Amino acid sequence: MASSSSKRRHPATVPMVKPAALVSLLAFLLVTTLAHGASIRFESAGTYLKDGTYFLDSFARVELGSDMQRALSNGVSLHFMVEVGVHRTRKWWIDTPVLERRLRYKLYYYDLTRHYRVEDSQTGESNNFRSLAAALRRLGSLTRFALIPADQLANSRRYTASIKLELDSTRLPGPLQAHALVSDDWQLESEVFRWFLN
Amino acid sequence: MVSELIRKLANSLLLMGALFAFLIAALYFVANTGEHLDSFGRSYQWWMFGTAIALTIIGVLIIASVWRLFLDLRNNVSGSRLSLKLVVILVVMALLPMTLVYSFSVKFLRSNIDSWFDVEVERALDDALGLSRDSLAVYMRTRQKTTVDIAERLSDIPSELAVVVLNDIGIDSEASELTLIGANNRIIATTAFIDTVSVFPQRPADDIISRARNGSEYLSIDPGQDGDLQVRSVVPVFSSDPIRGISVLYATYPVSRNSSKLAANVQESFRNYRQLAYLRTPLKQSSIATLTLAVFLSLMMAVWVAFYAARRLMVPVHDLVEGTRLVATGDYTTRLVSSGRDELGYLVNSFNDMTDKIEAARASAASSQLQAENQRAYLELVLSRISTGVVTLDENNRVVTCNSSAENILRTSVEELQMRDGDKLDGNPFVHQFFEGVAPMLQGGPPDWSLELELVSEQGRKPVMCRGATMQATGEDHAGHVVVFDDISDVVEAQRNAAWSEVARRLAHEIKNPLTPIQLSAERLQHKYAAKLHGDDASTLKKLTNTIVQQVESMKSMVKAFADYATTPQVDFTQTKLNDLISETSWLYRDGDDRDAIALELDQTLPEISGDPTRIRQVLHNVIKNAFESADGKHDRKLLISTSVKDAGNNSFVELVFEDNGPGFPAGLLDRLFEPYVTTKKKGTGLGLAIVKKIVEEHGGTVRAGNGDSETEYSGGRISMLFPIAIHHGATQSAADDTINKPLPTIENRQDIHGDAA
Repeated sequence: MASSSSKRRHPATVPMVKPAALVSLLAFLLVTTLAHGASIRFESAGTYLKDGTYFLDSFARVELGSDMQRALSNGVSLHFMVEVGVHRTRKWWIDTPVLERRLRYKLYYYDLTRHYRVEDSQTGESNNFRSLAAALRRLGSLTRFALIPADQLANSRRYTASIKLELDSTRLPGPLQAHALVSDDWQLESEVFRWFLN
Repeated sequence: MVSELIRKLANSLLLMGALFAFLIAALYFVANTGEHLDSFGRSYQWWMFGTAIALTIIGVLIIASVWRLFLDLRNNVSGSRLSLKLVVILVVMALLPMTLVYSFSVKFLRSNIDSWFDVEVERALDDALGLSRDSLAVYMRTRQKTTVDIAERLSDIPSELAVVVLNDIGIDSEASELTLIGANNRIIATTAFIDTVSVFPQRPADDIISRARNGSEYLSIDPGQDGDLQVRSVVPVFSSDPIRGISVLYATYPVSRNSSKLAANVQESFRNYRQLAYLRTPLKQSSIATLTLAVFLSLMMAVWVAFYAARRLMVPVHDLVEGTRLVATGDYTTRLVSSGRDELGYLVNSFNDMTDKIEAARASAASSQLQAENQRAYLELVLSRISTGVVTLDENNRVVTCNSSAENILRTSVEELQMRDGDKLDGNPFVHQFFEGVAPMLQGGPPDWSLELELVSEQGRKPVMCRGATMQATGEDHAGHVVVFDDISDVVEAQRNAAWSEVARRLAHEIKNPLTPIQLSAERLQHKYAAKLHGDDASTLKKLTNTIVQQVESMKSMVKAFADYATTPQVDFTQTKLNDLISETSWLYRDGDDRDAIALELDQTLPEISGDPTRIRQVLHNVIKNAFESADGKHDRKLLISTSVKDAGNNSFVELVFEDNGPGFPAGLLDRLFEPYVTTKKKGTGLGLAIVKKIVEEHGGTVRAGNGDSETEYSGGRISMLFPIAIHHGATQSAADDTINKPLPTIENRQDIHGDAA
């Protein structure tokens, strides 16, 4: 079981399981993307087993709307939140969570050196980018993230992994909060991306 | 149900207090969040959500209150107009200053926020940033030059020596880190290991390296991990040996901590200012929204407080109005709940005292009225049931009331008596004689008087015993009279009967004693001298003694009759069928005498009477004999005996009527017919009908004599009797079902009659 899933999974393997669901999901995402201009869309996400640990690689395409770009260039920090989870699938009941983690990132513009910075709130590490696109790429990608040790999972069960990336609107500056509460322009979150872990 | 709940909720001080407290807290939070650029509200949306719910609840409650007030106004509920006035006044009072404060606040808010931004400040900040950038740029170019110099020094150093040379250079230079990357992208040498902090040497991105190989140098200044700025420079290292290819030198230089800090401060201030400028509009909007919300909340509070106050104030007023209304309609049981110690509470207490007193007065009046009614009813009942006639007269001697016995005795009615005009002649002789008789006493008699009157009419005489009293009113005047009177004819008759009985008994006793010696003497005369005498003498003697004996016999029977009348045998009452007795007895008279013609008209449904058959037979014999004797030689004598059931008031009677075709009773004798020794016959004791009367009365009945209708066949004497119907004390019900609940005056339960008979 473990060896069979040791190869990196790409979303290309998911359509074999739920082709119709993925197509409709993509169609929906396309529509919402066109509608808003700001979007987060996972292009790939997958896990692989290495040294007894499941590692997660994912990439999401993040596009900010004009409002957000303007806010960013005016010194407003944008906080993003990645929610990763592992659930045990159950046939007739709600899936049981095995692991749920939140990773936080902060994106802001550094005027002095004209850099966009992505700060990992967990480690405190920050990366500088000349272009917003590069910063967003960094923001959307997650590589070699140690998800869960394999021995925490029972071999006989099926598990799904999920990932979701969203803008944490509760950490917007106060005056923007009321606006973010009612405005669609400030609602930025991806669909929950799921795949089978084993 | 729901409206009741809403009403209760709207009146609940606790709930509304909690809601308003929550809203104020939410408002404070929202305002706090909205003002600060860096206060993150994780619970912001929950507060907003709660606020929306609380506002909705309060809004619904207030709308419900308004609607109720509207309904109250439409239904003219007391106190509603005052409530409306109060609410309007309070709301207007709250609205006016609120609007004023609100408009000024908005104005100040706008200008205040705008005043934060100043073109000079903005330019200064821009300039500061520019200056920082320029100074950094100068520093960067200097470092770039240094890097290029190092690259030139490294150009012909073989790779084996590169590490040593680089370390030497690194120690002398200001570079924090120097890394030489070979043509094959491998690190040839680095000074990074000197710096113990970084385990791996930093290397620039691959695209930067390849671009550097192509001749374009890279220079940048970045904020480092520790927040300090550092300059990164990538330059190609050309070698004269073409085999080695082009290496790349990567150098980083720290910016001095002081400069770095200053630059960061400038950056931070600039960023804050930019952010504030950018957020100016949302800040204004959210501040105004918060202010509006605060004003709206205050308004809602004012409205609710207005309703609450109106309700609290109006409850006693409403109660008072309703209570007054109820009192006006005659309901004195209303008590109001005291509302406190204020003037309204005093009013309510006074109202309660007033209704208490009215209620008590009314209750006592009602109870005394009831008592009087009961007294009157009791007196009326007593008066209606006694046999004594009672008449009350006013001061003008007009009849005010009279009881039923008075009506019976005077043979008149209340209406007739009350219509009566004092001096006029009455149509009714009894009434006339009665009032004529008592008039002298009423006019000037003593306050208490008694008087015996005899009322005479065509029907007969009636002795009446009157007693009177004057009712004393206040002062000298009298308030009228009360006259009570009894029909004492029964008493008089009983006295007369008793006297006659006594006479008869004594007479019989006195006469009976000498009769036997007279008879014996006569018989002895005949016996002794009959043989001694001859011819005419003997026959004369015989005739004379026979006459004596016969007359004595006759006298004996007469004496026996008197004795019978005077002494009363034991009466044995049983259930008796009157019809059977009549049939038996009349048969005796018909048999063997074809002249006797007794016709019977007997009611076959006749109920039984309670009687002694022997005594009743005697009654029948006496009456039949009397009838036949009165016919006195008339050839075709006839007698009709009829029975029927007769209802008289509450009681049922059996009526027995004898009618003959004889000469009838003389008119002057009628009311004394049943007295002893009253007879029209040449011979006769005059006791027959007296005994009849006695026996009938022993049975609780009455007997009456009269003359028949001359038009009919039986135009002679008419004697009618009434016997009370016997009550069956068994399970079977008689025909008198409808009277079963009322005790009839029968023999069994009329002790007075038994007493008389004994």
